[in-house]
Amino acid sequence: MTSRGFFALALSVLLSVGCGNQHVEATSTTRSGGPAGSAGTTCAPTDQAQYVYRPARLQVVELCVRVTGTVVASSAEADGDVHLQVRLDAPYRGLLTSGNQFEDGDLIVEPVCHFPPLQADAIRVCASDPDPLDGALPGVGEHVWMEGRYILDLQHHAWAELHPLYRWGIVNP
Amino acid sequence: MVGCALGTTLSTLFVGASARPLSPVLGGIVFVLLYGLVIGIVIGLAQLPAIPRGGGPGRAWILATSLGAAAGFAVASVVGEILGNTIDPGLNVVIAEGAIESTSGAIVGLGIGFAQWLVLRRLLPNGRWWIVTSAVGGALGYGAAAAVLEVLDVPVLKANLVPSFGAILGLFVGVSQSLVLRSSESRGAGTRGVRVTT
Repeated sequence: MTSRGFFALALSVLLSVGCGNQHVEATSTTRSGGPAGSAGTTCAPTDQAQYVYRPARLQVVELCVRVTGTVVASSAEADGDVHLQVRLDAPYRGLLTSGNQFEDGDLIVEPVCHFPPLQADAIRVCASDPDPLDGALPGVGEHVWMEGRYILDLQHHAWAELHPLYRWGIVNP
Repeated sequence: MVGCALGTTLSTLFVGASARPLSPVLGGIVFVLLYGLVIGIVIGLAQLPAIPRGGGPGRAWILATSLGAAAGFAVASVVGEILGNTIDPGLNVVIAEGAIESTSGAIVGLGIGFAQWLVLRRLLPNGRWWIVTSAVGGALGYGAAAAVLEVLDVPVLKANLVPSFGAILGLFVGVSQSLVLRSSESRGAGTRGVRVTT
C-alpha cells in the first residue's frame, strides 16, 4: 500500500469512528444553522474548534458527533459562547457522563464566539474567528439535531459537551 | 461605574459589528487594541467631570485612558490565555477562573491607572496609589463580574450580560479610584469639590 493509500484508509477509519456511530432518525430541516450540506449523514468538523479559548480545559473525545434532542435552556456566557442544555433522545444518552448530572442530566452544547466576549482572555481568540456559526440558534422546546465536537469539560466535573457546535437543524416530527 | 458600563457595552457592540469583516485583515490582537481604545474613550469621557481641577486638558485625560485601556486589554488577553492554558483544568473552577479573571482585570486596571497617573501625578500627592487602586479595582471587578455572572447565575443580570459586566467592573474600579481622590481631597491637594462618577 502506498503512503497515500494508507493515509486515505486511515482518514476514512478516523471519520467512521468519529461520526459513524451516531445515527439520525430524521434530518429534514425547516430551520437550521451552520454550513450547508448538513442534512446528510456525514458528520464533518468545521474550522470552529480553533477558536475555542483555553483549549486545555476540554478533553476531545471525538472530532464530530451528531445527536438529537430537545433544547431545555439557553443562555449567553461572558466568554462569547452560548450555553445550550439539550435533553438527549434515548439513543444518545450514552454520551453523557456523571458530570452531566450537575446540568440536570442534559448535554451541554456550545456554539463559540456567538457574541462578542467580555472576558479579556477570550476577546482575541473570538476576534480572530471570521465565520462563527451563522444565524439564530434553536429555541427552548425545539427538537433538533446537532453536530459538534464531542468533549469532556475538565473544568466542570468532566461533563460531556458538543463544543463547538458545528451545525444544527430542526427534526421533523 | 456608568463609564465602564457604557464603555463595555459600546466596545462589545463595536467588536460584534466589525470583527467579522475586518479580523481576517487585522488579526485578533489588533481588535483587542481597538476594543480597549473604545472602552477607554468612554471611560475617560465619563470620568472627565470628576478629575481634579487643573488636571490638564480633557483630551490628554481621554487619550491617556484610551491608550492605557488598549495596552491593558492587549496584555491581559495574552496573559489570560497563557494562564488559562497553564492552570490545571482539574483545579476548582472558582479558584481557576478567579485567578485568571482577577489577573486579567488587574492588568487592565494597571494599564488604565498608570496612563491616568501620568496626567494626574502633579496634582495628587499620593498619586502612585492611583495605579495600585486601579489595578486592585480591576482585579476585584473582573473577579466579581465573573463570579456574579457565571457562578451565582442571577437571571436579571445574565439577561443583560454586557452592561451588567461593565457595571460590576466599573463599580469596583470607580470605588477604588475614588478612595485615592478622597484621600487627596482631605489633604487639600487641589482636589476640593471633586465628585467621583466613575
